Amino acid sequence: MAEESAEYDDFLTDLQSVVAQRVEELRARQSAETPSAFNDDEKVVREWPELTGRIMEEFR
Amino acid sequence: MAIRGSLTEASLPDVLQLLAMGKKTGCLGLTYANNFGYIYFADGSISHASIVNRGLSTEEAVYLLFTWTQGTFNFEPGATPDEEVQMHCIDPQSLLLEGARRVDEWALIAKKIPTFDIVYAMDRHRMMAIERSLTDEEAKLVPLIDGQRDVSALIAESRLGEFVTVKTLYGLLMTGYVIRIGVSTRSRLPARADDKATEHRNLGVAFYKTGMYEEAQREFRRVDTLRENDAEACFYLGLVALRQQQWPAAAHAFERYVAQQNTPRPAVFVNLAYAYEQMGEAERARAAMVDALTRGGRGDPMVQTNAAAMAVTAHDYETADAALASARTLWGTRRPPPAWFHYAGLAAAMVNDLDRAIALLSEAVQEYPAYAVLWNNLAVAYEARGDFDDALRTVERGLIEDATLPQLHRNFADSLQRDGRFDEAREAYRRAHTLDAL
Repeated sequence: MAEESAEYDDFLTDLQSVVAQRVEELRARQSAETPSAFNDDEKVVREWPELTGRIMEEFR
Repeated sequence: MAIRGSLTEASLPDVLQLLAMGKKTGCLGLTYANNFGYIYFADGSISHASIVNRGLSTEEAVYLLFTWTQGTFNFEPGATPDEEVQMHCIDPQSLLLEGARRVDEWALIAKKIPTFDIVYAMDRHRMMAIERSLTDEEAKLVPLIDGQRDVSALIAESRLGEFVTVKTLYGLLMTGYVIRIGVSTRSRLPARADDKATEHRNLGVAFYKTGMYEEAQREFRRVDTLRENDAEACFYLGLVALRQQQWPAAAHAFERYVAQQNTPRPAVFVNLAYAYEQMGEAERARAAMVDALTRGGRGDPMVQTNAAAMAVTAHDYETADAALASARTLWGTRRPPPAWFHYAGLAAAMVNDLDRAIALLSEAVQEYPAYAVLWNNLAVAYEARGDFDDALRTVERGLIEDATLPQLHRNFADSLQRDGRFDEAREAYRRAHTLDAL
């Protein structure tokens, strides 16, 4: 059980590190398979419309 | 939409009854001179109330707010109190009668005790002359009336609450047991700049939380003047600017926070990244998000979700997926916010994983049915998978939530067109264009 928990913590740490590294090298990796409907801004909402979903209002 | 008004036009009892009848959830903020109070509602019941810089219980705060017959109110729908505050479930009706009684009593009391800086002393001779047993409240208060403590100190130390303390003191005054001997020295001294700054800060936070952004900005500017380079003032001035869509001003406020080498706070970097993004400065936005992740925010699911949103905007869906997986894991058994579902559904759909997108967005609309955006994108995912009946049903459900979203009308039109309902489709296309142009 303790082993599983340590393994899980390691996985989480790795995942979080990957995100930081990837954001640093952020680049378009647009899939050629994107369904055409999802490339149409008249059909899809891309940006989350509420500011609260994109900012952090807690001083932390 | 926020509701604003004047307390001279609509009294607080009227507003409370209106919000109770409408079973509203949100925060009612009230201002009177330099005072600010707020009452949170959950489905029409009072869940929490307070007056800034006064340590009052929820009931006491509401009763005192009843005495504010001038000033303004502002109702911010959806606002909820901080997690750490004590929550109640009080029917506003139950407070109206006692509130009305207290308003009358306050009017009488205020004639004798007009301010809380007055100092009273016991008149021992008078007490001996008129013998009567003390009430429980008087017995608590009398030992504290020493010719030193002012009314504020008596309220704080008696723990009887503001109204009961002052009412008891009023009773003692009327029987001649106590006499006024002056005002406290504390009130004659100019308030320390730091104390004043704290008061303005508390007011500013309360204004911000109730959606009164101009008032919040005014208070934090005062804090900024009184306490040079105040970290929290920079943060809130940045937030207010974000709310007002003043992106460069927001960026400037958060940059000031960073330049002062305050404790690194991931929220500052996330918000700075958002301001840069809105200014079209992608490089700087990315650098700020990396700071958010590497300077304490890696284990924060909100930071990870914001990193994912940035990655989706940059069409980097692999990175978005990694950040979203990380955020969901960090939330554990807690329900992720609707924005998380939005970006998770979008990231899956963009790499043609429509089954996953549909699963995520179906979960989203179950958890957050009021968000039309989630219904819309779920409908598009159904359409892309060829489930046209589900797409139509989902669009119709979304339109019930929000008939002003142009994408929903466009998708509705496409569904109708597929069904051969051309006249109705033409009408829906027209509505989509009209709404899009607004």
